[in-house]
Amino acid sequence: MKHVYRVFVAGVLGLWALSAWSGWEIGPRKRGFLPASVRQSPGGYRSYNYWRGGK
Amino acid sequence: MSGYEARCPSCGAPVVFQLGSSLLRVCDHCGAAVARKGADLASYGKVAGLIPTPSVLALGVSGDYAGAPPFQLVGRLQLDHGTGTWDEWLMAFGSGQWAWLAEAQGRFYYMGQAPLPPVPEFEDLRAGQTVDLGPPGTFVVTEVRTGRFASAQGELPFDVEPGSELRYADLSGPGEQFATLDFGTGRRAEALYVGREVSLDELGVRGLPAAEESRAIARAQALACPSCGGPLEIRAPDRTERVGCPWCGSLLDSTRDLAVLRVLSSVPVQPLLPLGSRGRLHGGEWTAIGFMQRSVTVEGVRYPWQEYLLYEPRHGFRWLVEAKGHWSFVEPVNPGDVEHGGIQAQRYEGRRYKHFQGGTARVDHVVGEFYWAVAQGDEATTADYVSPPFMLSMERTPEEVVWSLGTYHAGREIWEAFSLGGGPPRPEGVGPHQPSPWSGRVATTWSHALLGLGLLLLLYVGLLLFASREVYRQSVPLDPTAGSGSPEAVLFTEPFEVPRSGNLQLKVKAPVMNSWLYLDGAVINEDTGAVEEFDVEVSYYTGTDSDGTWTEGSQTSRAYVGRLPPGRYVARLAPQWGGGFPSGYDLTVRSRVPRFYQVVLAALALLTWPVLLVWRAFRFEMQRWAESDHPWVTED
Repeated sequence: MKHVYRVFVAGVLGLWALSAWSGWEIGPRKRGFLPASVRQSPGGYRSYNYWRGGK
Repeated sequence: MSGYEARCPSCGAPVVFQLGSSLLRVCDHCGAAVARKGADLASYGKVAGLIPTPSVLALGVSGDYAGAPPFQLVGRLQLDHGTGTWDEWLMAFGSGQWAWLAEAQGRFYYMGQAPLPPVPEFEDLRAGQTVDLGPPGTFVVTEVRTGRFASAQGELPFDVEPGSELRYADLSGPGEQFATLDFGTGRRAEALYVGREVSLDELGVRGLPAAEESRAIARAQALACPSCGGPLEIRAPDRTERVGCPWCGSLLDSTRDLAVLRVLSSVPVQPLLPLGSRGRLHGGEWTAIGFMQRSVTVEGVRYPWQEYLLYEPRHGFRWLVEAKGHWSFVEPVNPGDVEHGGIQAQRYEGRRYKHFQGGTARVDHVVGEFYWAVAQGDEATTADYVSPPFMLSMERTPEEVVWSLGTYHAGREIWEAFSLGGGPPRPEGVGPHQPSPWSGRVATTWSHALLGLGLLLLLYVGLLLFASREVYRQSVPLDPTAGSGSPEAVLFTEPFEVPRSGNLQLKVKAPVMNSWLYLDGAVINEDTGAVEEFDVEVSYYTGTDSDGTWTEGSQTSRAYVGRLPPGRYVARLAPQWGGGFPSGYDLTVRSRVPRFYQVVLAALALLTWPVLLVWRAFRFEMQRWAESDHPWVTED
């Protein structure tokens, strides 16, 4: 049984290290996409109507 | 030895006192007890004949003990305490000194004279009490009895009329010491003898191998029960005092030609372990020769258990005790080596035993042979102390106190040891000293868990210090003319490089005071156009009330964006505020920052199994103690 637990400990530590290394986060991610045309036009970020929301 | 020779007042034959200090001599010619009264001799009449005992010793036997001058056995005293007879041999040393060699149940106890300290009077002594004997130490009274001077041979160091009642107390001391307080026929102690158990080899006794061998292999005797006629096999004929007929249950006195002490017509309980079974346990090959059922009654409920008397010629007697399918191999313990171990506890050989239960044990049924005068209805006060897999037990009667140590055995171990067919009865519940299957695992698992937690913490600190990296920092002033949430207040940072994959921590520090700043944020990968949104709020409030000063919130807050690939990024921050205008804020961006909540989650995962084990161990112990005088949970 102690060997099983040793493997379990190693597994948990490995999983944690992997999540810390990869930057894994709990919960949904709010993702979007800006087309290249917007990114490449001067001031495109600021005026693009993608941005919305607020408190 | 400075001897003394005179004529027997009864028959005129010469009597020789080999020890100058001897006061009584049994005349070899006529058997009269001759006492020295100053310069005269007086006869107490003829001494009763010697009671046959299994002793291998004899008058005239000599030996060497512990570097003392050679000794010779010059006297033999037979005492009868009503339930048995034992021999005490007077050892006369070449120096003129003497000592006793007591013999009981095949064991020998060398008892030398010691200075007599002030001790309680006979009537004030109780079995179990402690007595300070001075230099030898503090002893426990194990037996307080009156024995009858049954018979004698040779010479004795005291002047007591045969047939007299002699009072004595046996004591047990540290380091397996024994002591006897001799009260003679009075109330006050007259002599103290201190010694220890010795073997014949230690005594250097010569010329007895044949006798000892004959005793060691004393053959079983085939007899018949005088009550029912059933065949009886006496397996330890030289030691047995009582026999419970396995056919009719009658109790017989083996010291008086199997005189019937109690007649029964049937055996009310059959032993699980057949009498005569032989098994190897604890370094001996034991034969089960006796069986008794005993019980305690608590609040009207009878709790029985079974005891098997085991016999092995060279080791003597042991017990096998079975209660609810739990078995114990029980060995005698020197009471003087049992120490008080704190509240409701005893200590023996460095181990602490906790009180489990106590009561009054009663002998209900006996079958087979026993080395003492057992009788149905015999009662003893008992106290059990446990330290799995051991149980330390005390039994006390008004005359004596006995300690024993039981070692737990599973039923299958007993079945294997005695080569029994079928299987043992299934154990009920948890035995008082049953080893917990969890306790060892708990310690090992917790050590592994703590090691894992240590490694986890080490990895966390290591990642924080060496893997985390600041990738951007900016102090952002807010335009007082721009309104909260207005496009004019929005910040787009300069592009910054995220060198490795991982998360991104965005830390915002703002001088808010009883106000808040909210940032609707996003990081944009300039290469791919991927947008990861986040928000972060900084709010800080303080004030005073009847309890004093209070604060709420913080001027620093963090947001995290997970699993970003390496690349060139820009952050967008759209501020809103309330409760006051914040002059600006500081933004710090770090990559690959380990999250503490994930450390907590990992730690919880690591601890799940150890905590579960502790719970199961706790449940096991709770079950164990539920049957004790100290249950952890009561019905109330």
